[in-house]
Amino acid sequence: MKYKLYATLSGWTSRNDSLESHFGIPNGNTVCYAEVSQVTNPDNSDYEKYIMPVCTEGTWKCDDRFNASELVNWDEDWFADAPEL
Amino acid sequence: MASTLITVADTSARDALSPAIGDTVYQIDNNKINVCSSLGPVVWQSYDSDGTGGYALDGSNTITAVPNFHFDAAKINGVDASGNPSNAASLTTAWTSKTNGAATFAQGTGAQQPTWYSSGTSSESYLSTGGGSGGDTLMADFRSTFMGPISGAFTMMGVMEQVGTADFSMGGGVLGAVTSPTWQTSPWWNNAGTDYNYYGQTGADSGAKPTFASGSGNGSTAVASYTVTRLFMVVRDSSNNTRLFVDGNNTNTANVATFTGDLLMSNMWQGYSTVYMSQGHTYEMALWDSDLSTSDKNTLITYVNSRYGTGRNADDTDDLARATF
Repeated sequence: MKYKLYATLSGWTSRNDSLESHFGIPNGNTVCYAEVSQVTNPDNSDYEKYIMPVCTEGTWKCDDRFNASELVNWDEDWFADAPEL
Repeated sequence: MASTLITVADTSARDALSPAIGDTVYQIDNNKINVCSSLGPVVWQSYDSDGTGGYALDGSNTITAVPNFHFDAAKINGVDASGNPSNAASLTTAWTSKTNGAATFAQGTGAQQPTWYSSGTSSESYLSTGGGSGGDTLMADFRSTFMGPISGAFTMMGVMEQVGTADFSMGGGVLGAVTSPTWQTSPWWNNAGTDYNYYGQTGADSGAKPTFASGSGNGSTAVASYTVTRLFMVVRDSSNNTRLFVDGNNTNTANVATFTGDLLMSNMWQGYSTVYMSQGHTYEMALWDSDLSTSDKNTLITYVNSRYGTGRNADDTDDLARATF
């Protein structure tokens, strides 16, 4: 799984809608592509950005539909309740 | 009057029969009684064992305790391979247990569906899960008879492999005196090389990965790596002490949790809250509402050795027999 961060909810929603259209979702038991979540750690530079999971395998693989340079790995620092290591 | 109950090895053998309505067949691999209820096509009604005689893991390795659930990636429908997805496709259906008819819900969010692969370790099937925020999970009705709540002793078993260094967990949740999200904290979660038992609960017990006993094949590497297929067992005993065992009787004796809250099998692969999901491969997973006997634990090891090959050492360079209890 890779991720793309969006500054606005409308940007996230627009991309989610386009992916659902591309894949023909809703489809059977699959009712949506992704669910929205946000960076919750106020100390993180991406605080309050919207997180789009980008599938790199499976039926909904779509990393090839994004600019690779804009995709990032999941970052535990996005969330305020991560364990103190 | 002597009588004989027809016995078959597995579902394929059962389906090769030409029964009459009412014929009854005992199936060895899942310990079920099958009764032919109609013809054209043949329809079998399958009934679970009452537990007497134990649970046959694979037809030859039988344990005394019947699991609340036993999910097997090679049999997504709990019976045979007919319900499996195509290779490298997302799992859009429920995952059904081989026992008790227990099942997860189908995951409705595409990006959270695990991906099914037909062949991994020892050519066995597995589900691949992506971790992190919005990572893959399958939810279950944890208020059902078999998913919880379970108070007191339990045994969770997973044949799994971590991918990368991200979070890793079988999932599940807990109830009890909590300081962080309820039923979003699993009994065991590995984060950045540390094993957390009930992270978010009072105590948040944590410790290093278990060390493997030195021995032939282990070389100089003694700390367990999770990036090879291993047998994981999370066991809470009758005194509410919870320990993680890796590839048999290998555990960190300093990492013993004493949390007493109920176990819920709520979200599979959810380590802690909804954003720390497990990244790895899962071949099978099972849960018992008891601390398995030493004999049953050792039979599990024999079964896993038989199906997936013997254990591997920490850097995956050599065989290392799983340690018996």
